[in-house]
Amino acid sequence: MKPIIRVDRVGFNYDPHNTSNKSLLFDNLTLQVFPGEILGIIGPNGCGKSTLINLLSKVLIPHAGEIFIHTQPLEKMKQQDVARAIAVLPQDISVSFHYSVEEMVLMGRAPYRNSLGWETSTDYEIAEEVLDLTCMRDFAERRFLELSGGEKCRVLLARALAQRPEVLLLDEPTANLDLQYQTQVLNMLSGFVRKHGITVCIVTHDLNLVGEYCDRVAVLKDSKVYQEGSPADVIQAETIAEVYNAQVYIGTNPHSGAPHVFLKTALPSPPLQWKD
Amino acid sequence: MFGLLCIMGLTALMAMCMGTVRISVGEVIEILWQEIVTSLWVNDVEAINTNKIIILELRGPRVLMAMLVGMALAVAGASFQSMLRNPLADPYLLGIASGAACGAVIALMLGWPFLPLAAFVGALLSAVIVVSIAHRSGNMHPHTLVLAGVVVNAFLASIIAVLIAFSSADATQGIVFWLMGNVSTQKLAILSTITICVLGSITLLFWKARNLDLLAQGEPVAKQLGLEVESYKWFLLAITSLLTGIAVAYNGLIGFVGLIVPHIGRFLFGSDNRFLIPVTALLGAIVMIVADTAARTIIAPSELPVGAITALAGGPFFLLLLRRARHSFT
Repeated sequence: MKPIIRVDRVGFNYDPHNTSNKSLLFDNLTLQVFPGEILGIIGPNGCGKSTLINLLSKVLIPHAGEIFIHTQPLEKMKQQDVARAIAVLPQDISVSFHYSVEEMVLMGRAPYRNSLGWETSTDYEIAEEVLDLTCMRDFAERRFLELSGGEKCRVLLARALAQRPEVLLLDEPTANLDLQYQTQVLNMLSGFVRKHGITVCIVTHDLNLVGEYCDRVAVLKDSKVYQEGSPADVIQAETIAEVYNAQVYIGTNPHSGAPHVFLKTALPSPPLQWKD
Repeated sequence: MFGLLCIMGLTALMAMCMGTVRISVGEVIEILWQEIVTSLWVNDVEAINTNKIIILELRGPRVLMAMLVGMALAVAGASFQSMLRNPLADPYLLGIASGAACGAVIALMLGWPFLPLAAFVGALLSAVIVVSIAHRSGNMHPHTLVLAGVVVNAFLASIIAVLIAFSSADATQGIVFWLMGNVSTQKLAILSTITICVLGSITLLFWKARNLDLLAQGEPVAKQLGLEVESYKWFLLAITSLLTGIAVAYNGLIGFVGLIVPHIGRFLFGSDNRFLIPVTALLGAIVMIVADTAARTIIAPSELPVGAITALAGGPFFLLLLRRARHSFT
């Protein structure tokens, strides 16, 4: 299968004047994303997960190597075309002015607007559809800034979906959501993704989310992809000890059979029922 | 929107009635109507009418100038606020108007004929400096940007002070009075050029107003929504500097209009820049006509600098905004 995104030996750092090997955030990073899959990207703090999202959405330009979408080099694509192919759910967003939820979602149609920029009836239909999907229809007239963290997250997700992307990049999608909305959003997302054949990359700290929803996992460490594979292969106590420097048990979610991470705490250990 | 347009027309009419010589609304309309009609059909020679001269050569151009300055400053302010994602941004506070003034003073001293061009270059230079300060620090706190503006302002003010010290006494008086901000009365040719420039700039901004909303989301997000951020920012800087440059070159430093008016617009019509830009233009015109009329009537027959009027009204408003900013804009 041909990859939809191909990251080819990419090098990047935030200080363009200092290209010594030590300061490199990425060095020879190679990664492929295949159509229709849900790829989890994990790694310790500061390993460049969010930077990778910015590279994939052409917010940042790598200084070595290249990124391809299908066969097109990202660097040569217009920002508008990138936004039609790739949508991002940002981790947090600070808007200084009051916009209504509907206005925020309609901004997702920006890559499709003509030069005058008036929305068409299609744009409004799509906005309604994605607001329905994220259960935010009743909030359409509300002010974005006055919503709770979880509601904001769902609005931004609706906006990303309104871009009708081929690839959806999620930066810590569940960080602001309570348990109810975590399940709701993720189930909605995986259903939607399978139905429409969207490809998803999830950047997250939540290893259990990765185990539950992802088809494949890539672990970032030391400026490259440290390990890649199915959740069951990657989420192993040894790997996590090496990458995160943390001691864990790996159990199984009895409901779904997915790998589940339990922290080894300083408390007396419970009766042995977890496989190590 | 249409309501605002009507209010603006009414304010302009009222402003033309007021002054040392009171002229009735009916007469103003009659004079304007006659002028329009006679400029279309060849006129007959008629008796000299003082009121007609007052309206057509003094108050009319002045009110038109006030409208244009108000529009220019208010729309520039609205654009800066969205671009820098900062409710405290304003061409005056950020030092961009000072940059224009500095350019204009240099042109005045060297006797260059292209005062507006010098003001435009000055405005553009200081705008680039301020925006690159804002850009370098990434997600900057609103207050920090205002502090940067204060520093740029102080620096440019001292340059102007030094320049004034080197100029002759006559020139000094002129420059100082001009710096305080006054709506000037210009000849028809210049006035029509300014009209075209201001209305043209606002139309361009309006055409691309949707992109301002994207930029207000932050630059990374704007890129992810498909905006070519760099080129659009240059477009904005050029147009806002042009607007500020024109306003400053002909009328000196008039503060706070660019700060306050966009907030009134947002309060009334929301943040959507496609509405905000035209609304702000109309509101800016209204505010400026009122301020200018106040400036020339309060102690008539002498005049107050209109910059003093806007600062008197704007200062307290700014403090209020600063107070609110601490709570909700962080």
